[in-house]
Amino acid sequence: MKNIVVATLFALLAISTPSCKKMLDATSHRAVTEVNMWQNKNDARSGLSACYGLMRAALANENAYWVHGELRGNDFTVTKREDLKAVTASNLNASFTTMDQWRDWRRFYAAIAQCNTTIEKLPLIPGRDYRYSQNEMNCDRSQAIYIRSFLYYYMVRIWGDVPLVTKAGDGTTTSIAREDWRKVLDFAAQQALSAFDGLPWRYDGSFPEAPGQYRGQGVDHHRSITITKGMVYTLAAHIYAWKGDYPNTLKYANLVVDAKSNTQYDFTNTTDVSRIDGTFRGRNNGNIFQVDMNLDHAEISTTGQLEDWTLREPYIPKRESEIYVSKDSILKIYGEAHEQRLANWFTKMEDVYPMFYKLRQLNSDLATNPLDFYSSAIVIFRYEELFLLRAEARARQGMKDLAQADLNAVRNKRGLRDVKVETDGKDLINAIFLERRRELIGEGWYWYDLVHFNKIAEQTPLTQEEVDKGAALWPISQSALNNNRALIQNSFWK
Amino acid sequence: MKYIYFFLPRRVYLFSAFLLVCTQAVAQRSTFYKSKSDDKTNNSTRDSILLARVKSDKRDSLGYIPNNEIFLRTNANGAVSGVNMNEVTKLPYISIDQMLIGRTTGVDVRTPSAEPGKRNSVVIRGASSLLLGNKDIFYIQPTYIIDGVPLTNEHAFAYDIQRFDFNRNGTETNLLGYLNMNDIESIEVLKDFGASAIYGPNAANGVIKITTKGSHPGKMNVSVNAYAGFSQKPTVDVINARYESDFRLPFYRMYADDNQWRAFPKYLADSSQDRYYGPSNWDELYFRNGFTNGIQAAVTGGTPMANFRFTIGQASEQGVYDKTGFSRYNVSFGINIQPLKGLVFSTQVYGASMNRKRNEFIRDRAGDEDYLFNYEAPISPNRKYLQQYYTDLENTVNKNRNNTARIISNLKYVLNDHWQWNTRFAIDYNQNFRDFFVPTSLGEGNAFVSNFDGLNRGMILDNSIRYTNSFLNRHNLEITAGQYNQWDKWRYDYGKAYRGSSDYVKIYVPGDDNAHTGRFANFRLSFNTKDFTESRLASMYANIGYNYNQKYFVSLYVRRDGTSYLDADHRWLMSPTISGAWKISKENFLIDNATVSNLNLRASYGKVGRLMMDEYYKGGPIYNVDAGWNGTPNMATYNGFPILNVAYGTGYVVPGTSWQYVNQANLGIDLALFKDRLRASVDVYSKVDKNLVVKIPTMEEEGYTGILKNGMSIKNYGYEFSIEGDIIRKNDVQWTAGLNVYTNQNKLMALPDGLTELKMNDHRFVVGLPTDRYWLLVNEGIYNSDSEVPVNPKTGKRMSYQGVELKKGDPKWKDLNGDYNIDDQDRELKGRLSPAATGGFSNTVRYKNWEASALFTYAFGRKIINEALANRFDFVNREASNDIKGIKEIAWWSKVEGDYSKIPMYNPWSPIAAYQPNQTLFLENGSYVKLRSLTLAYTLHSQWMKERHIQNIRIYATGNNLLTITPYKGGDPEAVSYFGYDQGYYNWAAPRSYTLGFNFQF
Repeated sequence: MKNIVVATLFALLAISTPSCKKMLDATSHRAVTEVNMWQNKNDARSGLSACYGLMRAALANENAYWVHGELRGNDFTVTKREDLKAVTASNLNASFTTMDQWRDWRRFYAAIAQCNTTIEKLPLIPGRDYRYSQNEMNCDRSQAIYIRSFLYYYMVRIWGDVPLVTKAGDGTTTSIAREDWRKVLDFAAQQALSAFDGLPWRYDGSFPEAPGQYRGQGVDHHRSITITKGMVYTLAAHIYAWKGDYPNTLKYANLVVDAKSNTQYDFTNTTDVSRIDGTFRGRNNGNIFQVDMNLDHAEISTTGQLEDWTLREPYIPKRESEIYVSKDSILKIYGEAHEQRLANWFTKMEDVYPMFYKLRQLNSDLATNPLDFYSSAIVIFRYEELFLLRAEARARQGMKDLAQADLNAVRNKRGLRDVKVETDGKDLINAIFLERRRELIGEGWYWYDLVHFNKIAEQTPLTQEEVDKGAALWPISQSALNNNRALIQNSFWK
Repeated sequence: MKYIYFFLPRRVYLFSAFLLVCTQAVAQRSTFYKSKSDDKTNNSTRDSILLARVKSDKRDSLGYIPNNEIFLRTNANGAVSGVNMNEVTKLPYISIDQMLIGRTTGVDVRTPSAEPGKRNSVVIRGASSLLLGNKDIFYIQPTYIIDGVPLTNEHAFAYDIQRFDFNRNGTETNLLGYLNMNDIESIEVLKDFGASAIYGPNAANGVIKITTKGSHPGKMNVSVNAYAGFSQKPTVDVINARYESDFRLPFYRMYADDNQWRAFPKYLADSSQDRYYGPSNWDELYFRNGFTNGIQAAVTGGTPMANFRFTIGQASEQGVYDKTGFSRYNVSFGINIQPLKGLVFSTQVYGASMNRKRNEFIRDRAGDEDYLFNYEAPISPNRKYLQQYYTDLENTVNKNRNNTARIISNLKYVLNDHWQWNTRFAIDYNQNFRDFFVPTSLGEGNAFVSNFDGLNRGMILDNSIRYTNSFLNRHNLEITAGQYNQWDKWRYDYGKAYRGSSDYVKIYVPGDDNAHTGRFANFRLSFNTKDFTESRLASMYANIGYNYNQKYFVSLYVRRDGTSYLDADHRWLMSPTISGAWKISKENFLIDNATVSNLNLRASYGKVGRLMMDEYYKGGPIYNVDAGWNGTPNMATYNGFPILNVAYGTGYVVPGTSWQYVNQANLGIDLALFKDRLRASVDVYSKVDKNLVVKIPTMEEEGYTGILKNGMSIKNYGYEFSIEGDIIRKNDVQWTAGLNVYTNQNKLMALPDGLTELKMNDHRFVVGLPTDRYWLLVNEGIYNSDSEVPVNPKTGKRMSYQGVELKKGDPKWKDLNGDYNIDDQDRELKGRLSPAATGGFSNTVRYKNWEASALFTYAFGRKIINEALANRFDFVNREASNDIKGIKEIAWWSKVEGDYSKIPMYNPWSPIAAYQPNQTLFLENGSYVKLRSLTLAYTLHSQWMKERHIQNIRIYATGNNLLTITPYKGGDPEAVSYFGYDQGYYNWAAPRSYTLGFNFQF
């Protein structure tokens, strides 16, 4: 009897005790480890989408793209928020959690690091997954290269000299110094142009770089969002403009405009800019490059959206918007006769605070009792903006008539008459600047234009002396300085 | 008895009726078993209150039945602190952590809110990791070993998808609430590894060992416990808009410019408005007297061959705040059977269901909805205007249900006098469901619905064999070897949807690709999240215990643990523990000593592994979906395509991450004098957590927010002391008094890579300094004019705060490093968050059948930041419309308690955040002494009862939280956040409560 019991117990033990190795080799459910990543086409594509996604996160975080690009220009007035007021006062060392975010470039570098990793890893995948052709890989990799260049261009405008990181890191590097901004831009331009060959003009299946349905979606799904040859030239033109290399700016701007049959880029009517499902939903021929948000994909949010700050009653349940363009400013900026933009892009002019109404993707699904979920894309480059860039490049090189033609093309689209024929030199440049201000309000350009056209002292409380000392750049965050000993704070903010 | 029933709700009547039927049946059967009339009910009351370890004699009636204990019994050499169950079962506690306060040593219980049934925190012998957010609290909780099986507690992972660090998604119910107090035989806090190493990595944060009452043979025994009582409605100083605007106007007059005057809040501006300027009487709706009641019945009996215990119980508690409440139903059944000689099979099933009625904080609702509304117009303080609001609240759904089921089976075979075999298998299953619905009227015209379905499941298998023998009647040897597996699993499904179609569909039925508009809402406004994580542990262990003549004890326990959280090369850890005891009082020179009745010296030193919090430490970079931004943590696609990014937000996991472990040394002395009339016990401990994984900052330019790396070490050390004496010990009168003290010091010993300090969110951790300090600016007054601001002679610039020049009305903060710029370098580590000394002082007096006892608890050397007060002064930054800071709860209309006289009139509009909470201005002494409980009991004995086989009838009355003495000027010093911040009305103080109860045994 005893033996039977003992034997049974041992038998039970043998059955019930699992192999330790098998038991402990459980795969991680909450994260993918390196050995399981970059194995197949899906990994490649989700890694590439992460480049886009992290780029969006960097730009949208606390509305950074707009705070960096426009708020300091003072066209907008702040109602209550002290952190925003500090930005308009160029009080950029002020102590606010949001200010820490705006000073910090980690999110930009996360997106760059994701691009670096993707650029390095994608070439490995065609060998691992036969479904992923070399051609597809090239197209995907070129997109990552473009995004990296774009981010460097973006950061140079905010912080000036930035560290140039071009390889995927493993978290062990402890310091890297800032690189001269011109060299960073040279790298960005050279890299972006190198991506040209791998990209199609459009994702409609008719170009050998992306045959068939790219990622199972048609051309409308990708328009203005997925990187194309046209975006490469547009970015290159902008990079050269920031460097002051106007011949090259003109060259690449021309290449875009002249390739209209391929790009299909076109102007947008004034009403179409601000209407629901207009420019800020995008995916149209007016937008060259947009960082996408989209209700249909549930890529919507309550934060990181300019509408969150500009809209108010009766469109959303908020009595007072965070920012507005004052009546005086509006009338000053849009003082010319026949101006269409004022009526279309602003509303509630009869109130004390008018409402900036250019961005309002209150989609039909949200229109009654709207939630503060917004889905306006961040529009980076659009056709009007490119024309104004080309106008400037031409004007800078003394091509007065051609510059006026570009400028007038935009003006006419907005109801304005041609500029006076004799406008030339400084006046012409100034007219282009003012047109950019009018056209691109609320799109994150104005501050960069003030810097580029050297008009900060003229238009904001900062003095020329402060600008010369580097006040136009943003300070680097304390946490970035703490963790990278090689960094030196921008001189004005020391 | 009638007056008791008066309090009891209807279901208690039904319950009593059921019991009556039960007991009659039992009474008939009981004649089959001869009852030995053993009146042991009062035995335990003779045990000391503070030192007693309630022993289960009952189980020994059938040899030794390890029904509710794992094979390895708690080592006699360990540091253990127990609770006197006889005392605490009288008190209306819903969860056992509340019973530990002041009654055990080595335990720091933090209860941020007295919301009934809500999760709170228990820390044994100091926290062993850095506490930055609510998530970290989960990681320092002890393991509750209930009947030898760990309770699978909640996992913090649901926080990953949450934007606000308030409540974790799900019910947030304290899982320990599932146990009925009257089912508990004993509660012991196992502190050193001499006592707890047998639980392996489960013991890293200490163990609270709970043993429930088991079945035992003998005559049928029925016991019934019932109590009813009420908690007293608290009082607050209510205010209206008049008070608030009077408070603010001086600031406006002094500092405000035209724009700031223009932004004067509308609700305060118009004094003719009855809504805000009318009488403030919201408290009449918000507070109430809360009723509590509980009833439990147990039946035990059977033969030595087969016996059972069956219990059923119910308890409920109404909160005094915001109509909160908690209720529980529980049932359990246990049997022992002995089919063959030496073969004992025991099994126990415990099931419970808990429901919780939660608070209605606007803040918590915003957190649950992950959506901010317009908070410009607060709720009215006037009853007249609150009707609609309360009607709207009634339309919400906020169902929180937890179900717990535990099944434990144990098979033991006693081969002969020396060899025993034991196999144990157990499943611990905890579900938690939450249905949440907010109607359109509370959501600016948009209904919201969410559903959470969570599961924690633990499973253990333990096989062991034991050899015991005695040689020459002096050498006692016990060798145990075994193998143990543990599978833990956590998962949840969470769905939420905005913009419901109507107020009538209150459940989450999302649409899909085919039907865009689901029953509740458009599928594009529905969000679903799932998460799943599991931990597996495989262990082998061996123990050699030896004692010489019950005088010298020594035990060596060795264990090898493997975890699924680490890679194959690093997953195994060997951890030994050695412990010993010397019963000096048994030595010849003391054995006849009249004074010393017990003297025992104990020592232990051991190592125990500590499991990681998450499962991705297998080395190399990891990838996850983390492409959101501030306020939008969940963004999983771009242009509709899925994202999988390098986990920059989580951090880089260094390859070769290895086990974290804890070393602990403990030395203890137990002493009893004068025939056990005076009893004392001291323990000195030093616990060092080593090789802890911590996220250290790294160069931002590679995108990572940090590197996850082994190498942090934290030491906790201190002593525990308890003394108890029977001051009067006569037949009729007894008076016992006891005092205990627990101290804890804590120190950061090392950081990875030789780092000497770490700065994370408002915290600074320096090697060589404690980790539980606040990091504060030091106030030295106010600058009354611009010219008072010192000028740096070198640069000619005025003193600045983070680069912003200080001006009139700004605080004068101490410039510690003398660089004329106040920044993080000028913050000082100040003030303990956990008390330097905490404990209890108890007195019990018995006179004939009467018994009275009082327990005072105290905490000294502890500081609190009065954040509520800081926020009140920071009103300028708290009027933003859709900002979490702008939320004003209904209880906002009460005066914030605090010392207003010491707060200078800073310029609240200053960009330097003059009233930030992290400055010494708001740091206050949080020491306290509390009269936690007062009980009075009367036991009836009579011939009449004996004839009817009634063993015992006891009637008792209790009072709780009757008195608090504290220098703290804010609210209740115990009701503060886990991190030491008093958030005012978000931290509900435990109310005064009174109960009346009885206990029957027959």
